[in-house]
Amino acid sequence: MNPDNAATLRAIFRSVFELGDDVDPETLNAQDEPKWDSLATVMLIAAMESEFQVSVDPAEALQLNSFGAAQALLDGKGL
Amino acid sequence: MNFLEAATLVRGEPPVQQLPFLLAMSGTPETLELYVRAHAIRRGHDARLRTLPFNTLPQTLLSPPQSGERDVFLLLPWDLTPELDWRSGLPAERPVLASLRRAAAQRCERLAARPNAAVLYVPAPVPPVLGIPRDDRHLEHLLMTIAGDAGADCLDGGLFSLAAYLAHGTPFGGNALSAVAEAVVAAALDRPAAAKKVLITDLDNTLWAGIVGEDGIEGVSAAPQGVGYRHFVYQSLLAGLQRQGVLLAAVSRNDPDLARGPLEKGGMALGPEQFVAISANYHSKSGQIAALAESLDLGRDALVFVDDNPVEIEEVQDALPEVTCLTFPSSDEHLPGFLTRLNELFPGAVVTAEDRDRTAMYRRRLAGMVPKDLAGADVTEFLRDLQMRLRIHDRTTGDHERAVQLINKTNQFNLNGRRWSDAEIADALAQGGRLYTAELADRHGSHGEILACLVTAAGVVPALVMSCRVLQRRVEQGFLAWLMSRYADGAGELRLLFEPTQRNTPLRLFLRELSLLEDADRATAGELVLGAGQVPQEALALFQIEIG
Repeated sequence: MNPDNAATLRAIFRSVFELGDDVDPETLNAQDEPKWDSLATVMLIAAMESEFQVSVDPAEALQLNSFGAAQALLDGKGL
Repeated sequence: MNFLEAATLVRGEPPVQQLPFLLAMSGTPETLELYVRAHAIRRGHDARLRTLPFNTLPQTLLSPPQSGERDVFLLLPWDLTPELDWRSGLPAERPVLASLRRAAAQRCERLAARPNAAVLYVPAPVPPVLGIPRDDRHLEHLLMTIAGDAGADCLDGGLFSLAAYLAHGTPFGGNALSAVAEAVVAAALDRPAAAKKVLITDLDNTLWAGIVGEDGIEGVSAAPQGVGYRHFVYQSLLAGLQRQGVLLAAVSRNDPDLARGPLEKGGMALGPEQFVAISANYHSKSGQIAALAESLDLGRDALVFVDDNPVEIEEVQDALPEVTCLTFPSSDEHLPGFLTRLNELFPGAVVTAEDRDRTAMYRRRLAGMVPKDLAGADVTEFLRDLQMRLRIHDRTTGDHERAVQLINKTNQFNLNGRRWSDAEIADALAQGGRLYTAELADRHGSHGEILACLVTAAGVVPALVMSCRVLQRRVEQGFLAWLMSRYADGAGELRLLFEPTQRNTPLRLFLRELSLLEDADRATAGELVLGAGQVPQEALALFQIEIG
């Protein structure tokens, strides 16, 4: 993933999970983040679709459980 | 509007004026809420929306509305006939078309009778419940007609996303949320956005196919054939709008005579007399549009700007947020939606004699005005936001096909107009010359190799060209600043073999900026000496320079 797209993804995570400046979005995962519920996943997908002009299908959505997974998903779409 | 832009708007101070309303839809509304709030803010309102618990839309229809609150119903086919819900699967027994029609009509009657309600209908594809393709298609049309008869505003069916709906119950994918939210806010405000008055169009690859500065007047087309067709259809719509009183104007980064050429030549649906103004120069388009609005004495919110280039669209939107900007479609598939949107912005009305004469009236007004100096908008901040990367390739060895192609087909930003053969380039390189190209990318994607420069061993530049697609991005400054830094240790200067041509005005304006020419219009051929410190270094900060 190029640096611009990585920065956009970090901004999405910051906004969706309302992260403070002291939290590194890249460390986020669904298991440890209390705000990461099913609604947050839906918001995350909608935000990624909007910012990167991609479609995320249900199978891909199931894999979305960390910043790294989101990055890998976008990598897989050539971003 | 994308997600981060919407989130930024919503994080700011909300407008004072509140907009309380119920957003009634059967799917999950959470992803839509952010965009609804953002679009309301854009229209000066703080949206206070109430949403329904999941799957309670039918009960809401049976309950009286809350006092003082407007209802906006956002409906899909299965909100009219529940048997059509994709999430329920197909019914065990095939329903009868007449009973589906009856159920939909009854529900729509209730909607139509509901006071203070607005209805938006998204004609999403329905599952094949009737089992006969013709009947299923007929059902889709029937439901749209029933909804329309009940006063619903039908949105584009393509806004629906089956993947999003099946995955998490929200009927719209992330790419469609902004458009849906914009319609919801317009419905909640109980009035469409005020009709626009002026359509300002780009010329190259928008009003016609091709770039007049490169392809020539004969090389561009808006004829009803081949590549010109999309532009012919666009022009025919513009001609109709102009007849109903809409003012047409054009802005272009071009020489004025060249820009008017294709229109004056004839053979297009539009002629120059149908435009209230054709602004062609090398200032930013936002600067040209702002000056035009001032000359016409019209508010910027009355303007619609159409351009095929997303960067130009963003530059104008950034500098003039009141202007409605539309991107001209890059494929025929997107043409219908684009034309529909234009028609929405300029709703037809009874055409009066004054409407018909409006263009001539404004042309007379402009003819009596003293031309203004177009300062143009400062786009530095905008360019910084583009996060541009300039990858410079040394093509001295290996493949230099693209470099030769660029040198031989570029007219506008061309140092001298000289054409080079492969053998001549090879000869110059064999004598110690170097051939560079530059590839530009930004956060919108790659623009490919857009600049080529040949430098001899003695620091003479006999060829320097850049694609006109990236003229406004200061690539030329960034590249020359980089090149000077390479040659500073050697000759310390570069000598540019300049020659004016009929079309290289952009290049001459750039040389004037560098103080190498006094007058861009009266320049003569010669060797121009570019010393260290003559190229502004600020441009370098706009780029991440990479060596390929």
